Amino acid sequence: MSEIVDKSKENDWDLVREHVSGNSEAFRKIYEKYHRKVFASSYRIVGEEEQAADLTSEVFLKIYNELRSFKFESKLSTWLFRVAVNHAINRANEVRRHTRIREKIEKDGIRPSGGTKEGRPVDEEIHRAIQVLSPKLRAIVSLRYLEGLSYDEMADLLDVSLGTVKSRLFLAHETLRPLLKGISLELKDV
Amino acid sequence: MNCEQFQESIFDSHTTESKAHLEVCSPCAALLTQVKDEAHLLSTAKTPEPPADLWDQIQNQIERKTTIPRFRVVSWISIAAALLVGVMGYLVGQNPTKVHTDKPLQLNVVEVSPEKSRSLVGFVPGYDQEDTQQALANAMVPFPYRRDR
Repeated sequence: MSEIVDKSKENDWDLVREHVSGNSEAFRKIYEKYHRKVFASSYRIVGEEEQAADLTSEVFLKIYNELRSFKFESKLSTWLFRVAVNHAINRANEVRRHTRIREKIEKDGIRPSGGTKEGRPVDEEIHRAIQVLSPKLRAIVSLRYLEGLSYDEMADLLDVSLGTVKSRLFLAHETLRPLLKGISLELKDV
Repeated sequence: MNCEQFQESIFDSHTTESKAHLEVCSPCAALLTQVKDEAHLLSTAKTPEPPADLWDQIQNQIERKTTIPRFRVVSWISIAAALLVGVMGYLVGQNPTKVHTDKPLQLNVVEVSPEKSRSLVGFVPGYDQEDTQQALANAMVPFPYRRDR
């Protein structure tokens, strides 16, 4: 397993080297490999498809130049997600939409809203529940349950201690529990 | 281990201490099941796909950043045209004997950009290099500050 991970790291590093040396196809490959995950993380943190697309675009434009200063000490994916998640958290903090959404959800309750363009209504409900969290907690939930990162990787990526990662995750669960309970019951009914 | 300690380390519930606590504490066992269910729900929720044309948008922006904006090219072409007029006016007015009447002055602007502006001097064929340099300098300097030879 670790060989596979190392191989992937090496491949990514090769792509970075090719990009820096002027091979335009290499950047396209990096984009193809990671843009869905960057978009998905951004979507979970900012809460809107349009904003998530803008953020994804901004992240790739940012790294297009910054890859020249990539130090080949960490995995490209970790470096890329650090940029993406911090960018999305900053944007979400700027907008401070979560307060408004929390009020709306508390007022309306979580009901099916027709779902996302491709997803099930229940996906949309889970997504709306996540928006109740602060941007930092959304990032934790996204990295853990969407990207499947380990606690160590999350601590490294967010530049916080392991204890902070776990306490934030626990707090996220505590906050989401009453909201997710209703969704679980709906799923069992179906 | 008490309940508070267990909850603090709920994401390390595979440790011997945690397992021992779970065997004797049903509320904590229920909480762990709940957390696992929530984790499953969160990890199976699908997110939408990014827009299909996102790469095109990014590529366009990269290209826009790495090439000269059109308005700047237009503006440099205007400057080049003004220089052409200036050079012709200077050569005819100041030193008509040096003008080659059989070979009219022609300024060919092949490519114009801030980096290549200096090569304009070389685009005035058939004329004395010093004169063209002076003419270009005069054309770029407002009249009251011009240093005529």
